[in-house]
Amino acid sequence: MVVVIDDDNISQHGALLEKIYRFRHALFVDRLNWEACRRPDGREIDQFDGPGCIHLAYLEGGEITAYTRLLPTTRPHLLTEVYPHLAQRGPAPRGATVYEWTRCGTLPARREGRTGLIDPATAGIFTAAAEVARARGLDGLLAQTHPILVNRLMSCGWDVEPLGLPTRYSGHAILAVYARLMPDTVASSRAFFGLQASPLHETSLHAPRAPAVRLPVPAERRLHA
Amino acid sequence: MSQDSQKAFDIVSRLKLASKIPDILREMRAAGAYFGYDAFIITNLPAEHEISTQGCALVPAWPEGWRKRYFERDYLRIDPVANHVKRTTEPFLWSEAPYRSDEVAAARVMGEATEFGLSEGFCVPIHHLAGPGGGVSFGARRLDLSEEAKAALHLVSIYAYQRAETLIREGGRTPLRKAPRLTAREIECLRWTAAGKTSWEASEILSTSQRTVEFHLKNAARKLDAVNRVQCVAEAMRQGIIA
Repeated sequence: MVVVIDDDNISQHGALLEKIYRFRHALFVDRLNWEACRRPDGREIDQFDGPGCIHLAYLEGGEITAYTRLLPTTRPHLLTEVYPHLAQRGPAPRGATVYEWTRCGTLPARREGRTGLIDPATAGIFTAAAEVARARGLDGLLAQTHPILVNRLMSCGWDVEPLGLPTRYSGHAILAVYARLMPDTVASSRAFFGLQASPLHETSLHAPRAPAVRLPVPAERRLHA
Repeated sequence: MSQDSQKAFDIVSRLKLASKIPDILREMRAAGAYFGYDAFIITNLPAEHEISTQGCALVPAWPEGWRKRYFERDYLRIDPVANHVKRTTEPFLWSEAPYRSDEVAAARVMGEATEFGLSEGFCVPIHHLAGPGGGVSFGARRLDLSEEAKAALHLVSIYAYQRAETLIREGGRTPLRKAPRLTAREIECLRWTAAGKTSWEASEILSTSQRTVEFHLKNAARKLDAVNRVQCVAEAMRQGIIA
């Protein structure tokens, strides 16, 4: 089950937020060696954890087994601050209906083996990102990812536009993309992972209090501007 | 932005629209003329229990003789390039695919490929589904790729693999509906409509009446199950009736 934390309910989720920061540190720093994010208190918090940011946590028995974060592109985000060189094609889509998909990960013990099936936590968090995007009327999500995940995004029904060529970043290939939400992205994601129902907790299914404002100019039009 | 990356983005945008395997073949051959490869293959790797390796291939555009031998002799199981795909997610040159000097079969595959004009190559592994993975491999007599060209081919491979995999999976699941038969005149009218001509303009070009053009377009729309002219043209293009 995925719990969604945003500006409206963050005050009720102090304990879960604490678990989120510790989960992120254990996964991204201790396991994946993102040394720049190491913190002495074992809580991985960066400058983008702030107003407008949406946390998605997959919970099993009260413990986080997968997590991801959506950042508003109306504020500084990773593509503008950390990886601007990845957007070689020019300015990436930005605006109230475009969020950036960051910090997506599953508990190492739960990550799929080379021949195994994709585990429910990974399936849940991937599908939840599409469901949250749809519930909030978003046009799409920016992502900086290993090229392998580009194929997974496409198989999940996202229309994926490359924003640059793959480049190498600390030993691994990385690529910036804009994943446009399509009418059947949620259905395709569920089908790809074999999910029967929404992974979102029912309180997360309603539209947010302040729905995203539609831009006069569709964000994707600026992709090739 | 460099020429290679622009080329890659152009190829990707066309690959995304490919509606049949020959579209991918044509696009990837044209890309070969630019990047300098002579042949390519888009394939999955065989699982242990797979009886035939032939069924793993998505788009095997090797030279004919080599393709035949490669699958008849199940080289997909012993090819050091294919085996290296199982160990890495990063693109590599064929010369970087390791095999021991006592691996006679692996050495034989590489040697025989040379006889078919494939001495050098580049391979992009794709691992996103359960199973042993797959990828796209490019071969040539001489292949000289800059880092930029490698990155461009990496991007192209992601989309070529995805499109081929999707088309073949969907083609296998739902037997291809019988393509609607359009008359030559209907196709002609659609072509001019797709080129932006009004029915009056098309009627002038085709030396017929405007009403006849509209009649043909209406019949084409009915056959293609389209509710208006825009959808009709889009559907005709999607089905490859007009280019």
